[in-house]
Amino acid sequence: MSEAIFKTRVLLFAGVIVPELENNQDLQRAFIQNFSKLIKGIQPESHDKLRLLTRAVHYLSLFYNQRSLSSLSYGQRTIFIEKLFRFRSSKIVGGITALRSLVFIAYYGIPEVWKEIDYEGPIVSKLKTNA
Amino acid sequence: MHREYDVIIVGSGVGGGTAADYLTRKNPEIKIAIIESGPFYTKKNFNQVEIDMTALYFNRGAILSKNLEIGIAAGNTLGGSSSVYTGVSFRPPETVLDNWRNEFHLDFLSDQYVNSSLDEIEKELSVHELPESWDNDNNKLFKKGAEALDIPVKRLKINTKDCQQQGFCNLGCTTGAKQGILEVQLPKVMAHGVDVICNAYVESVEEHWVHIIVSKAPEGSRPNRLAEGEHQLHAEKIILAAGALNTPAILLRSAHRLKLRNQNIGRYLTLHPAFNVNGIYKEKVNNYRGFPKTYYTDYFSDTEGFYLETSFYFPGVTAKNIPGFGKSHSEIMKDYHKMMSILVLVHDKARHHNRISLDNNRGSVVNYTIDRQTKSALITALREASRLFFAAGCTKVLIPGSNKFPLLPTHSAKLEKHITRKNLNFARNPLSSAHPQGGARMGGDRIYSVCDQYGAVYGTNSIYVADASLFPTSAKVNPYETVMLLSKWVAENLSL
Repeated sequence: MSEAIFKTRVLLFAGVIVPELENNQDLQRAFIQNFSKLIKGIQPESHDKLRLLTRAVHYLSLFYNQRSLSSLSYGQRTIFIEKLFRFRSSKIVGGITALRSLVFIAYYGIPEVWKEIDYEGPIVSKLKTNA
Repeated sequence: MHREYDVIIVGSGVGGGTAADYLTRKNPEIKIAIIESGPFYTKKNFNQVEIDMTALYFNRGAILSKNLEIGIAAGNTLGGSSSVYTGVSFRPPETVLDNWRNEFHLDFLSDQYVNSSLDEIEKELSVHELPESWDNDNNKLFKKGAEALDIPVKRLKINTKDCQQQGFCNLGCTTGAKQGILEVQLPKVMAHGVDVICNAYVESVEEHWVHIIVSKAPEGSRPNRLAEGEHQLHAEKIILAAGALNTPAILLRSAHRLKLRNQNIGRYLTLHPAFNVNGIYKEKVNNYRGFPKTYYTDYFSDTEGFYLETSFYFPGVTAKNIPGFGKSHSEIMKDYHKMMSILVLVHDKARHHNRISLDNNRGSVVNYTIDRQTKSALITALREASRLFFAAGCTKVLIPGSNKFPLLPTHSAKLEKHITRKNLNFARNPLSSAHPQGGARMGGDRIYSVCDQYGAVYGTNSIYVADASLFPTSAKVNPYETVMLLSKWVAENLSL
């Protein structure tokens, strides 16, 4: 699986986890930048498992929806991902939960998003300037 | 290439830094190397930005157990987890020490030795209670809620000097106020000529030899002292202080070379499982600035098996700890500035089946099952925490992994119905751990231990352990002082 396909699949998942990402290319770009930073630092085995997971989600979509994730409407994609969180395999549930965590850390690491949650960001630079 | 040392210490965290400190106090001429798997970062590299600072942790902050039910956060940077802890300072509880003396024959842990050692350590690290005038609203609300319920609270002791109250100690202290190994012990021992070798993965050890692989230093960190690639280092004695996730793994990888047949290696792992629970207060509060932790309660410790501590986390981790996703989750996150937060910490029992093992690549695997007793304690803890949130004035409580989302004040009379084992799903929201312990337990009998009372690995001549993996059982509290206590003892008694 190419890096581009992997990131597209992650974005399809992330858009359901954080609806603000859907159809907002600036946020998507910033999100992918943060997500890539996170992925770069994880163990190769964890990286492999994430890729495997996105592939599994793709095939599960083909099996249950007869269509790939990218061919589903936003509503259908949301219903399908909700279903995955209740899936009988704890490996799938645990895997998408881990992916959910990475999505949140990447998304809420975007400075533009901080305004939405009234977080003013680190005060480090001010402290360093005063020191 | 190979180099010669008197002592090689594997790990620059609380165990390794303390061992190096006490060895150099005993003999200032001693030749020591500290091997660290993480990069050489200092406070100048820290910026309190979550997405950047996850780089200070193994696997970006989440080593998941094999069953995916618990995620472990451990520092992978110079200073180890002391670079990312909050500095909460607890002495080991008397009941724990009694148990370790009576059941595991750790007779050296006399009241006199423990108290004099920890008096000395706490003085050096400036351990103290922060003034109440520093409490932010998150801490004040914890106190308010507990008092309304007649739950006695205590002030946490913290090891800081001139803290600037940036808020997120777990992302590294940019001013060096936190008196961890990075600020206190490492500068001292490096001034004594101790070699610090970073980005070095310890593949295995054998008698007097450490086999390491040095990888490229990340951008921004201090350059490597050794060339990238494999190296063999020689020493009179080797101290493993790579933490409870890695020290047992190194021993397992080295078992063949060391001819170790001890079946206890890696076993009796405890994780001090935790949930970070958030509530929404009725109005905006000062939560993410100021010192994140000043209160706790041990009121339920002996009877129910848990502590409640104040805490507050950065946006991404907070989002992860809030159940659900999608629009409702985004709406909840818009109340980040109204959030109150409590850390639930459950005392878990040391079980034979909970262990570190190796995967096919010889990496560490955490095998941990959340047992019935831990689950019961967790359920009670979540109920008590919820009561406390509502008593403090919160309008919503968000239980991680719960089907009931969110809990409202109208639910507070029936928490027994809403917070149940059936309603919690650990696969959907794993527990977290920042206090792994055990796996190379210390004890007077090799039948049930890995190391003797001096930290020497049974069956070896030159291999010692000086970190939390020595703990025979859970210390039941934030463990760094207990690690320092044991590490000091191992260093003081190491003969060369």
